[in-house]
Amino acid sequence: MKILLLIILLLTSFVFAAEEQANLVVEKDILVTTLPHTEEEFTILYTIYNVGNGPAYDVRLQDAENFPKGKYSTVLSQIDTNWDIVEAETNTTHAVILKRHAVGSDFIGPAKVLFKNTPNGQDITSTSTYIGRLNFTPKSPGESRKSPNWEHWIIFSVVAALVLVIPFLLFKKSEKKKKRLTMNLRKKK
Amino acid sequence: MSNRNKRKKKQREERAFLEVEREREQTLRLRKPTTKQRMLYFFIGLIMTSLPTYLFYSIYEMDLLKSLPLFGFVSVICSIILSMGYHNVSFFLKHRLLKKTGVNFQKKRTKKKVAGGEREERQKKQLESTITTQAVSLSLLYNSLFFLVIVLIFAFYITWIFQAPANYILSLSVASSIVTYISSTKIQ
Repeated sequence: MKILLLIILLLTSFVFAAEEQANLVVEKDILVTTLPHTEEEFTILYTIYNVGNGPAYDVRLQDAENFPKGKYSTVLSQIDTNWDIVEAETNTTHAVILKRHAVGSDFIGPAKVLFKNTPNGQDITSTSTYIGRLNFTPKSPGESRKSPNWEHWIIFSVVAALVLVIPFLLFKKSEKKKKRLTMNLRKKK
Repeated sequence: MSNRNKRKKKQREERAFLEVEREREQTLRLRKPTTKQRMLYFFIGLIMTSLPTYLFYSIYEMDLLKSLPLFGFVSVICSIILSMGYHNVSFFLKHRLLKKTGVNFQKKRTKKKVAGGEREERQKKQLESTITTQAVSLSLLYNSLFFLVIVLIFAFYITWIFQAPANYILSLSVASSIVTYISSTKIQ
């Protein structure tokens, strides 16, 4: 009897060990070099890593709550999206470009990701990392003036120099001709 | 004074007066630019006003398509103002350079044909056209450089507090007006 129970326990443990389960870790990031201003585009990148040993089915990303429609508008792609399957030990990404219209401060919290271990299984919720508080201020007219903008100045200088060098070369060429003609006319006198 | 002396004196005065009048007419004729010169000055002015437009598009982030009518209108008006400045300086420089050569460019009125006179006249014409080219190229160089410097000072240090379109209009129009005004004082 005891041996039978032990065999049953061993078999069930093997079954549970063989059962594949997905485990989603979600990273939410903002891709900017400086803090965005109002009416300035910024990109939110979601990366979903399946660190489990089974695929995740019917994966749904929900983050519209953090970017209400009155304050934000999507420039490219959409915030909420879904995938049919995310295989085990793989990752997938989703990017959305947004723009904020009003001046103010917002706490950008975590996104919610719902998935299933089996196609008809129950929903499991996972939450992503969060971005934190962002202050949106209007862009001042002097701001772009203060940044270096080296490449624009170099292009401008090169084109201006090219345009100015042409009359200079013309002047030099006519100077030689003038000297020759003046000497000829003075000799005759 | 006898009548004969009086008549001679009067004739001399008339001749001198006619000479002065002829010189004045020639100066006035030269002061007006030819069509070719006008087109050249306008074309160069258009290029010079387009250069700051690139800076406003790239640094001040003015939308190119939306601001195209503004860019076009302001560029054309400023090019016309600049072309007047170009001609003023080239006219002033031409007279200075002609004097510096020490050659008498006025046509001698003689009844007799002088040997080698035609060749000399041809050389004088060549010299005059060379000096015109020199004066025009110097004028373009000097005024264009002056214009660019004033535009940059205004756009980035004086009128930068205004919105980009207002900054653009002010900096370009003020720069072209200053250049043309200073060039006109040289002639006076």
